[in-house]
Amino acid sequence: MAETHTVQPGDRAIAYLTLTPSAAVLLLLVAVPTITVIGISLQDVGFGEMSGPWIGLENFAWALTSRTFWTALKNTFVWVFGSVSLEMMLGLGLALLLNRTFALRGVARAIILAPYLIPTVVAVLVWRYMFHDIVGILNYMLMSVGLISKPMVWLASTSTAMLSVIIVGVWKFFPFVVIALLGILQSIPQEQYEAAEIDGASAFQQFWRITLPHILPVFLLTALLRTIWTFHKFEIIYLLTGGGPLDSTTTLPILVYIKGFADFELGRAAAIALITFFILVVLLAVYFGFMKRAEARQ
Amino acid sequence: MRIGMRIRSIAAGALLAGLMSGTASAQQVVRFLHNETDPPSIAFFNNAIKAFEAENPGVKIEMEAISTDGRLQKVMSSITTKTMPDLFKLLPEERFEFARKGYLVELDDVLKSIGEQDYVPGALVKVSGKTYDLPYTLGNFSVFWNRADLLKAKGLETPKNWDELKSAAAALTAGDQFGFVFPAGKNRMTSVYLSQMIWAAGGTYFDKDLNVTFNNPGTVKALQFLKDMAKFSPPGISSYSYSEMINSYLTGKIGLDIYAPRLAANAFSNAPDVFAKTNGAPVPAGPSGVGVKFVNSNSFAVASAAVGAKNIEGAKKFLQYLITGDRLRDFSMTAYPHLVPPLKSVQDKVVEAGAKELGGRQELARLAFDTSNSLDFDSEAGAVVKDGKVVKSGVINPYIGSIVARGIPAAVVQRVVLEGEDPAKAAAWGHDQMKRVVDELKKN
Repeated sequence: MAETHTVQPGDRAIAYLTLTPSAAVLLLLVAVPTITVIGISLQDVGFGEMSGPWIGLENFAWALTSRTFWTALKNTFVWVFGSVSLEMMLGLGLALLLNRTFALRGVARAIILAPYLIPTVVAVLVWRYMFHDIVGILNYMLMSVGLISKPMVWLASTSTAMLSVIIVGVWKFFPFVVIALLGILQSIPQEQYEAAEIDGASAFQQFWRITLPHILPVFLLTALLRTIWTFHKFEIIYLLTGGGPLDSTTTLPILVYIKGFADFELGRAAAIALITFFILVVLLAVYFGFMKRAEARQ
Repeated sequence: MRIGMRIRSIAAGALLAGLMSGTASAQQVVRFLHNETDPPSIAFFNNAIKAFEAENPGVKIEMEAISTDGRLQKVMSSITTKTMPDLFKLLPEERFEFARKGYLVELDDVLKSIGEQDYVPGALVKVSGKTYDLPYTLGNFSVFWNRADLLKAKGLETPKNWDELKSAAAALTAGDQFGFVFPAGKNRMTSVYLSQMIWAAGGTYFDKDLNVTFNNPGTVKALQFLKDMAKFSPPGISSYSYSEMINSYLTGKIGLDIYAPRLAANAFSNAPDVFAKTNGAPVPAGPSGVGVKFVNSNSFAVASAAVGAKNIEGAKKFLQYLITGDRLRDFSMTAYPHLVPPLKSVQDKVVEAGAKELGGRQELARLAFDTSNSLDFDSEAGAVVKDGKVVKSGVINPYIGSIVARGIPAAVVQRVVLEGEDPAKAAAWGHDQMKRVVDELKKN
């Protein structure tokens, strides 16, 4: 028989006492910067300053009526949707492959993790050379197999720059999806597949009826997490294109940087950062809603 | 007895700790920020710091080297949080604004000690008659590097003006060979490049009364020239910056390249075949009749206590040590002949010391060290070309730094080169953008 414990009056005090230090640290690390950014977003803060005249919601009004902001928002969604959808498809395919038994499976798993382990700066520099219009290996390979007749301008054209940064983003982060999905794939009881085979189910039917329902919660959670992380990704795009050419790869985090450190308009940068924060909060709400539903189902 | 011993050992420990902390506080720490991150420069600074610390036992130099692209952000954050390094790299376009806002300390005493007359003309720029930064090298972005073998094969002379340059670039472009290269990326190098073209075409960003004059015939001619030259340049120039101006040339696929002398230094080390076939020449003349060079001072400044500097006197002492005598010569040799010493007395020493470098081709150093007929961002306001010479108005421009930092000139180039916009329309767009920024700055 399980023991029961009634909450005593002193328990609550001890709970608060033990929670206080971590709550104070959290407050310091999260609340103070957030409040500071909110404060800056309501002021006209310029070069080398931390405060300026109060202007209310003017910075937000500017952001929501500025063509640059909407271009950046559109670019952010293209970047996020393009990256995450490709990461998920590639990650799922490779996780299914790595879940099978074959020689050197361990080595293959280790190799697939490599992009995730390489520092972003190093990876981006290598990719910059691979994309190079004169000596880039990517053009050389595509021309060798006859897919293109002349070198492609990967990073210097408004029509291909976003595709190029998405390629690098997908290459860098698909291993995370592989790790997440491989874990859940390995937990599916083998007997279910054996029974399905006896019943004459095809490979696709086995995937659709057994694999997918099992991995779906993890698949969706991984997709949500990758969406949130990709949304505020900065360094890959900044190092590859700086947001250009023109503003074809300027996403919201890049725009925050440009406004803050190139245009020296910290108030506007803070307003854009807060709008980005708001969008991420909505995504997080979706994430927590999903978590709650998944827990209730269990 | 035991308790007594314990008390004595605690007291001795406390005394020792006190003495140690006293020693630490007696040592003055000078924080030093720069963006010369290539290995030879780092080795030079490490050696200079070691020697300085040996000569000045009470001073410790803490060096921080940061990339060129990240320097301004680092400086901005440090100013905002009042944690500025005592000694730091300052760009010319930051000089006026930083001095006006009280971020810098005057360096007239250091200048007096070095000797003002030893600086090459134009190397020193003062704000309201006071010196706030001292140069350690001049950056000359305008040497005309050309493949003598390719020109000869086509029966062409070294181009001396824009028309000849365009014809030669066209003749040298075939298949995967490109006659010309220039930067059209979203970066500062593109703004630098466009500027020298505008000046060579007789235009300026500002007049001497500091009104924006960007939309002028010179700018339109410069943009049209770049638009034409894009046909003879690699297709990826819209992402090119500093490094691509060298790296693309070193592939051997570029015929003509107007860039800094670092190109020769890198070619000598990394592509000797290309170097052997490369000649240096004065930059071809633009429609104004002069090939105006972009030459800017790379300076160090000492931050003021108002932005967090802690050891101003130590920083001044180290500054003077670093930018004079053998240190200036040794630093200039780290990328010979790219780093042009601003002191006349040191220039000769560098040319002498560099006799064995670049296969003995001293003419390249003399070409690199020729900083005549040059302008930079803060001295271009109201400059004119008269009788084949650049005449400065003497007005220091406090606004152009904000325009360049915002990347407006680079954006103008991208509109023309990438989007094919009419140069006159792009010039008008750039003018409006610049005027908006300047009007805002003038209000404050």
